[in-house]
Amino acid sequence: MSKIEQFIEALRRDEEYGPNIQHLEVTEATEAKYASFPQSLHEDLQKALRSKGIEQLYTHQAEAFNYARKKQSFVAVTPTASGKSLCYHLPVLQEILENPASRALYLFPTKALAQDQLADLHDLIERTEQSILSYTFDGDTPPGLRTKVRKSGHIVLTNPDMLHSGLLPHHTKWVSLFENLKYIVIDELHTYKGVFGSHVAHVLRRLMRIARYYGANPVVICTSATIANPLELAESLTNESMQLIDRSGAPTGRKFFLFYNPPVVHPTFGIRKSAILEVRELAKRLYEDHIQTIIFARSRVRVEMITTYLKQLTAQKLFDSSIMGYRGGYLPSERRNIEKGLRNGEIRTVVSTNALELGIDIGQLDACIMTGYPGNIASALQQAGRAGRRGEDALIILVAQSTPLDQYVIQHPNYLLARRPEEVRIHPDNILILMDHLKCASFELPFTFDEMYGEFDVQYLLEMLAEEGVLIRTGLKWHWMTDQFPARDISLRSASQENVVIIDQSVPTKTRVIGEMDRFSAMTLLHEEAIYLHQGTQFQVEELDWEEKKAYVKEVDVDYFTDANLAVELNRLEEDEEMTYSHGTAYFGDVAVVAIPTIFKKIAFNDQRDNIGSGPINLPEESLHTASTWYSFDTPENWTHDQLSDVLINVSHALQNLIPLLVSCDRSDIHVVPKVKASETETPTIFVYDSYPGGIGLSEAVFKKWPELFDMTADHIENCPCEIGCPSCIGAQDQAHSTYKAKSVALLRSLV
Amino acid sequence: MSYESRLLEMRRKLVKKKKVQLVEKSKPVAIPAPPYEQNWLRAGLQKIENEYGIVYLKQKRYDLDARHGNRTFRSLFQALEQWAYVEDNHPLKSDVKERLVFFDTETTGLSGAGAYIFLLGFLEREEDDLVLSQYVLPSPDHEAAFLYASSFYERDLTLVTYNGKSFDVPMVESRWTLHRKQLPRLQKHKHIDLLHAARRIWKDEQASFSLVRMEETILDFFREGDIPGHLAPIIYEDAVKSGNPQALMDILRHNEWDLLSLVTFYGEAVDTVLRQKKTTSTVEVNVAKWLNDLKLFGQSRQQFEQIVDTYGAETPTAHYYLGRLLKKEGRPLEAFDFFERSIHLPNRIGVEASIQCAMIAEHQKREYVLALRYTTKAYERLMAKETEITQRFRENTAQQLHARKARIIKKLAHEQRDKSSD
Repeated sequence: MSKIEQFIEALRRDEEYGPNIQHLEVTEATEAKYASFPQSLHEDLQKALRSKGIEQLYTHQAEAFNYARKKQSFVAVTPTASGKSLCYHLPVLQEILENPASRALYLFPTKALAQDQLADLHDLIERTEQSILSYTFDGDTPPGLRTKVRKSGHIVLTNPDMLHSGLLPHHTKWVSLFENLKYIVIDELHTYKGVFGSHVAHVLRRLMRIARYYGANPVVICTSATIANPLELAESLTNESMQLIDRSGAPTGRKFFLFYNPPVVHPTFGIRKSAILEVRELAKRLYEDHIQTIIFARSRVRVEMITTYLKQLTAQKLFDSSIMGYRGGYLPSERRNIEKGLRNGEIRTVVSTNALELGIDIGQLDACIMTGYPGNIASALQQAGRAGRRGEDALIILVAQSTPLDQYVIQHPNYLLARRPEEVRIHPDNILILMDHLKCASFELPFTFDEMYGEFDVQYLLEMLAEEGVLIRTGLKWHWMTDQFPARDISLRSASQENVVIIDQSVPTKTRVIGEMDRFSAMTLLHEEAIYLHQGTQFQVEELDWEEKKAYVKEVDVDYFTDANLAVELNRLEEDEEMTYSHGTAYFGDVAVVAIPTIFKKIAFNDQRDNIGSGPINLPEESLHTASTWYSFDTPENWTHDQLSDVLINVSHALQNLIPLLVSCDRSDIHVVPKVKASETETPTIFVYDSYPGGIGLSEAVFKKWPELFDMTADHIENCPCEIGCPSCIGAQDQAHSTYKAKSVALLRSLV
Repeated sequence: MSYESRLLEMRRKLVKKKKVQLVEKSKPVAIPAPPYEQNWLRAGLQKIENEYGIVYLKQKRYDLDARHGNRTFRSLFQALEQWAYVEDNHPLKSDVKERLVFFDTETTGLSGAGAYIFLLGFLEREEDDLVLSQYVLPSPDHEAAFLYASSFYERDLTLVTYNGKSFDVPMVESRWTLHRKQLPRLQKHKHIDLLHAARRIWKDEQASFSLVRMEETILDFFREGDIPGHLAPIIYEDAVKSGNPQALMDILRHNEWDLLSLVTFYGEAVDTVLRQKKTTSTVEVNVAKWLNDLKLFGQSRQQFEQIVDTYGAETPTAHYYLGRLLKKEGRPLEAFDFFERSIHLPNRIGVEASIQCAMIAEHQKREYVLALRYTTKAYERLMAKETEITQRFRENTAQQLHARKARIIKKLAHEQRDKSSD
């Protein structure tokens, strides 16, 4: 019996902890599938690979090489630690070895990731014993080095933000890159989602436009973690036709996937014992059993808490570094030290934020604990991928929190194990985002009167830009004619310029931005006196500056939460599509949303949920024109208006929490609003709309999945161990409404 | 209706197409002249045709003996002729045989591929005249012909600009890149950037180095009715959109003043470097220090000696540099006295001077008590709050001083032991 089997056996027998094991799934090991080095593979590359102990390629690496050599763009979906970077390094280095004038551009979602990958690339290049120059290009690149990067960098590693504002607008300085651009590599494709992904899709259209202007026709290589629609995402991100490589040739060991649900301590609210406490205990046992473990936690604070606790295990030993905290922002050299410590066994436990989930590599361990569901399957699989050395057993433990998402996943192990991951959606069609980048593209090169922009016919939009005064139409082209520098005003990361920035001023000298929120959600969650929960910490909003879109918050410790009422008026503007089911009809189209916050209540954390105060919210009404899907159905028999109204609110609460399981997004990227009588149809309707003006494809994805969504939600509510409803399912209920939990399920089941 | 809601309404019109690659490259057709051409020509521009199309030009001649501010244009050329006899390679110096071209642009933006140059202004000597040639971009469609008019593809020009190294020339390079397939190759030219010279010569004397400020404080030239340069983008945009060139002609006037000032300002700079002008001790020290940095040590030492003679104790900085130069020439004992006179300066020089004294006391004079005293002095100065130095310098130097102190104390102990054993 392996160490890991012994550990599981002991845990099972434990009277206190054993019963919390919700599910154990064992997947058997798979063999490696190898392919010999392609005949055309440059001898210097063969030499370099052999010096790393690589005598043959995995099948997916060989497949990648062959596609690239045929000038076919592709996306490779590969699990963690399957040697995915060779999928692009090999063809790129081959090209440069054959023709030293060739250039390649690598794109990573963050600066840190690019800098990390550079070390890996340098190592491989050194082993070829050829002079191939590779550089990162970002805000940290010293001015003195920039000219060299531009003129002679064979491989330039950068991020979308830098490409957008530092490289494309200055393309005339990068002639030698663009004229010879053979490859564009997009690593971590699955991170390009939602608003950010939609922006990046346009940055890439601009990149291709400029590359073609200089006569280049680069092959695009994407790599992605497991998502439902890699090919679709890659094609819509790049607007290029792609091939898919999704059969990994890398071997996997036997994996034990343990679903662990902390016991309920508060049945009314469905509150369970803290995941952190349970993780501490599990980690302690693993440490004592000498099983090398990585623990993922979502915030720095949690990492600190777990690390501090675990370090007590070694407090007696001086200079002991067998337990290490790890968070983003570590230098590559510090990372190498951790990696080394893990290899030689000095480090036995690493506690990490999600920083390590992206391609940053510190090697493989025996076990992995996730403190809470990381929010989507791609992330969960990437974290899980950290456990598992070649040919050895691996243990993955998911410890659930009390949140609806966690509770759904822990009670439906198949959701995760069946690996039907979420779709990642982007929506380059969003007109606001498109227009932002059309400006940038016009700045970069004037459009002609018959030119397309990506797949878009933009002549009438260029006309509008001319009316706005940023372009002039001359005899031949649309020329940029203003001293603005458009890329400077357009941020790829913020959902919209109109977002509310949340500023923590708990320590007056150290105010810091802790997040941002769309203005719609902000009306009910960031009004003055609201209690705002940020990664488990309570903050009170001290001031909301609506003009400047800034919320000033301060950390507090109170025994109540706030709940605000928002009067929402929804007007259907256009119906683009509809789909009829036996008991209802789903629609997709445009809506205009007008929202006015009214009052907020302070509600105590006690069993009675006492209302201990309230106040008005004085904010102007907000309107939003966006994409929406709505589902209308006939009023079920024997329901009073009030009952239906209440239960619809409950059902919407549950729906909103579960949508991120179907479509990769954050809970706040979509809104769910029920109407007992939607103004036109006079029938009960549930609306789902995108938070971002114009929509980013989320409701469009939900439109096709209503039955699945209803089904999942009903299951989830039914399986929730609470008595009459709790925040994990339909929201907390009082005794007067003790039947609503059952009614919610019944309603959901009757809709399709 | 807001921009956002207008856009969202337009969203319905968005048409997507499968990729259509435009393969046939339209062959070069004659680019039509802009519809407002006659208006612009009436305002005083002249139409020039070259092999790439059309460009507009305004030309004007000045008598070389005309004054601009407090001096004539000719005085620059006279100063340069005199300088030609001196053997040095000062960056301000230009060979009389070179083709000296004063150059300034006006643009529609500060950087990036979307900023156009719309005015290329040149000023060149032709015998007893200065000839001003201002090329105006007829419309953005005519950029190739416009750039070609610059004659930057010819060899052996020496450009004289104000901030041209980081602005005008990179701007030309960027625009040229976009037409590099048609135009002849852009040459690299010798380049004298007077902003760099101004910063070296008038450091600590001027609050800003804008050309207009230089005109007012150094050239005694005051513009009347000038249009500020930052309005240039809007004005060109308006001229192209409305066809009315009135304000554009004011920008030409602005550019003309810039170019004229370059000539006399260059003259002032040369005179100051050659010490042909009465000026302040700060400026004289700046000039001598520049020579030092250019490794023209002989000239630099002579100038510092003259400064020390003229101003005496008023110029501790000059004393310090003179000390450095004397030390370099192998005259440490003379250097010591000059360092001594600058150690009270509450800045880096004060610290460095104390260290120099300590070094000479230790190695040449071999007076260890004295060396120790200067080391301590250097340390006090280094640590004093009012001393203007960077934290980095403070930390690095403190370490060195500790080492130095320890070594001197060791030597002192040796010396005493040697003495007692005698």
